[in-house]
Amino acid sequence: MLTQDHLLRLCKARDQLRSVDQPSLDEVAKSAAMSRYHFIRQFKAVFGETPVQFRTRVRLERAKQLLAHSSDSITAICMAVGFSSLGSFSALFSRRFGRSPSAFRREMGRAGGLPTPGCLQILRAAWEHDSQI
Amino acid sequence: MKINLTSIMVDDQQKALDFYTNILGFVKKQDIPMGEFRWLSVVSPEGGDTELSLEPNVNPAGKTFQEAMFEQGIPMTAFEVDDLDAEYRRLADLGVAFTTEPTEAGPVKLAVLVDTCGNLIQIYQHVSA
Repeated sequence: MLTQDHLLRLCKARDQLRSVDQPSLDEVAKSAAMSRYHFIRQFKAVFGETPVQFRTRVRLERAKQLLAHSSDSITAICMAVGFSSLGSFSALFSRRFGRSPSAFRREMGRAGGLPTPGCLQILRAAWEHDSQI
Repeated sequence: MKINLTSIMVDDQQKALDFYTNILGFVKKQDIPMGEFRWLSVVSPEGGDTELSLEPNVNPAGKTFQEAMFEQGIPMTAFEVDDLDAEYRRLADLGVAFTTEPTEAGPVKLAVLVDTCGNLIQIYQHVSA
């Protein structure tokens, strides 16, 4: 069973994995006071993905925000979020979001930015209302 | 007035759909693309009208709230089960992490699990007096 202390250590580890300092997996595991193996296993049980998968997802989400809201080059964004290879960044981005970073940026330019959903219930109510008319 | 719809924030909608259907056993009800996200909901196969929306936690305010609740060990919602011990064993065998094992608490017996999407979920069974 997960104790509260254990849960907090995993949450702190998650925060470290998000940080731009990009500590190694061994460093994060050590600061969580767990072996690398135990840390990976526990992290996946709590957050549903391995630490590496989590860090990749965070980097891709950050890249998406930068692509939508900054004018930095795609290469600069790739490096800024922690990828060292433009090729692997583009491949991972395309796999997760269904289009390349440049295609995503063009789309955001046309759409006027990345929307934040406010209340999907309201949107749904509107959708149901429209479908009944 | 009826409560037919409620929601829970999740950090990844696809991961949430996998957990809430393949692990918890709910059934997908709605899956409608909405730009970068989806209108995604599940229902219980055991009946009842209530639909649970799996909402993306991309609003920073929502994310802060969700993470604070999680770190404080507070469940975001609760689901009723018929046999808590059996459900606990089934989920534990599937690798689900629990922060509270089956515990009697007055008129209910409860346990708290991690949904892998940023939430603690309480499951409970009414026990006869």
